[in-house]
Amino acid sequence: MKSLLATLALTTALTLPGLASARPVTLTTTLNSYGGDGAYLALYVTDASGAYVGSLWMAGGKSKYYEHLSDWYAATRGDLAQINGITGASVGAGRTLEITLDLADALFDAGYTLHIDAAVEDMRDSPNEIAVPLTAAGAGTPVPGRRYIASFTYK
Amino acid sequence: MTSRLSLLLASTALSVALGLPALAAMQARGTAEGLCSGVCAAVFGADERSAPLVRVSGHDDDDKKAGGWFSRKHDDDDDDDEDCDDDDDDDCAGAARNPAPAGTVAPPANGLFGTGKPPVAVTN
Repeated sequence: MKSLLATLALTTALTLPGLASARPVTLTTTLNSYGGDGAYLALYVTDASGAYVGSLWMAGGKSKYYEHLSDWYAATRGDLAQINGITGASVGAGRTLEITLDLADALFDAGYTLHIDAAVEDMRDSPNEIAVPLTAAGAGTPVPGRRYIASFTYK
Repeated sequence: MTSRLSLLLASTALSVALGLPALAAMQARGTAEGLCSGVCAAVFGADERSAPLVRVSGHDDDDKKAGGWFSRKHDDDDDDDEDCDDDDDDDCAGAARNPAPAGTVAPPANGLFGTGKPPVAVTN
């Protein structure tokens, strides 16, 4: 009985901080009506030194086009393990991609930056189209893109 | 009834008008082939042989890496399906070379997903 209680206490102690250290975040990316096919988008995070930390989402399922997401590709060498389970369809012009996820609390106000690389068939690649520092204050503030992305917001 | 008859008549007349010249040409050719030999036979016989296939467009590399996305023209299917029926598509050796779609496996343990819960994406 004692060991059962101890196990329960231990698992609770291990689980609670985990739950507390994440917050639900919605990443909203609205594309311009650029008049082309669906855009491939790579959403990933770098740390304060600019080093790649990990990917949050890949919009576009065919790996042979990932080299056009050039900054993401350079950081990962196209490693599919980085995006297994977080890959969805490419996003059409003028449409909005909304990603809801539990983001680790430690990422906010700690020098981390969220990046988006974009690429569209027969059009220019657009690496690092969005680079937004992850801060609590920046949540909800739309950030304009350069080429294909009209705006990006996290909140 | 009258309109049906007139329609039938019109279509017959059209068929005759189109078919007669073609029939006449075939007969003329047959006659000409019968009359001449050598050059004539070569000329008339030329289109009997199957013409060699000439590839006028292919998967050349000219359109690749021109500062942008290289052409996906050889692969006109939708972006996200997994059909690999293009025999010459060397990048399509199997779905194993594409990432696992969301919801099929757990997200990567990169420390970004606080609870390990997979993200959910919706496109509007």
